[in-house]
This record gives sequence, C-alpha cells and structure tokens, in this order.
Amino acid sequence: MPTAVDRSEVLRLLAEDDAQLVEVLPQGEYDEEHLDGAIHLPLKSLSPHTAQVLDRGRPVIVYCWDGL
Amino acid sequence: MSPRAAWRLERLGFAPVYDYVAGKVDWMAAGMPTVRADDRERRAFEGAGLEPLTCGPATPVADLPAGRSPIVVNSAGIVLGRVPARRGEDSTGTAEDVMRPGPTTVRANEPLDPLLERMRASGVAEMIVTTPEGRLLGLVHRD
Repeated sequence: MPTAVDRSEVLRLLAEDDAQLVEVLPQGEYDEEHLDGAIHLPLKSLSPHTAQVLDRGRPVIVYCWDGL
Repeated sequence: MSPRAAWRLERLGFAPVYDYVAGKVDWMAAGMPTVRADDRERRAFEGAGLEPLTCGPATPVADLPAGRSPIVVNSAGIVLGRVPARRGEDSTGTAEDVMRPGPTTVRANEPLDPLLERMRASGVAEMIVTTPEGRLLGLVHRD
C-alpha cells in the first residue's frame, strides 16, 4: 500500500534513502515547472515499458499538482 | 492523480512507493528548488530579505530595538505575530504581550511584481513570507 508523505519526509527520503522523485502530470505541466531532479512519468502513459526508466532498487516518490 | 500513479507503480512491482500528496504546489509554496521553463517571473521568496529582525514571544519589550518591528516567532520558526514599531513609552511586558497576532503573510511562490503592486496600492511597506506551515522565510520590502 503506498504511503502518504509530507514535504519533510520527502526531504528525508531523498537525503537518506536515495529515493526517486516522479512527476506524473502531463508533459506541459512538467515542462513548465517541476521539482529539481524529478523524473517525468505521466500517469496516462504509465506502463511496464515506460516505468523502466525507474530504478527498482530505490524507493519511489510520486507527486502531481496537489494530489487530486 | 498521484494516488492512482502510486497504486499503479506498486502494481508494477515497485516498492516502497510513497505519495507526496501535497505535491508541487506545496513544494513551490515553501520556496524549495524547482526547474522552470521560464524563470523571468520573480517570486516573493526571491525578492525577500532572508534575515528579518525576529524575536521570541518571551523577549522583554525593553530588549527590543526602538523604532523597529520584529517578527515574533516560536522555537520552530512559526510566525506568531509582529511587534509594532510604535509601541508607546511603556516598555514593560514581553513581545507576546504587545504583538499584533496573525500578521498577513504570503507563500514563497507568490508572483513578486503583482504582490509589490498590491502593497503599493494598499500602503503596505512590508510583507512576511512563510512556508505553508507558517515558518518564516523572509520579508519583502516594497521599496
């Protein structure tokens, strides 16, 4: 079950657990502005193939605009 | 959107998967680093002085510099109020006794130029910048 985290926990996961940040918004919104270091993997094209850009050995943190 | 993506990634075999629910808007509002296609728009955080005068709620009024308006913050850096620059002759009590609680604040990603325009229009000289949790980040001066 995915775990909801806040900003402070995101910072901890990045610093201590080498987590991967993943933005799941469409291309235009990612291009306009994204978190420094975030990988782009839009929800609408999320598949076993596209998810290969992620490292299976590291935690994954997904985000969108505000969770809705 | 991110909850569905998190579940989908878990279904694809990734673990652990975390959902930063508050998302990009929360990150930006806290002044955290982002990559922007167009960074010409200045934001409040970029226009703010980052070390405004502060004091704790228990600071004696007698210890506050005359004519200055320190921001009252608690031990977590949360803005509690602001001591008025004009506070009369009476220097007894603490900052908490004389502060004006709940000053108006903006978040770090507030566009700076429209903010300065609103400040000019309403005669506001300074604006406190905080994170979404209310932690002090800086102080925007109108001029």
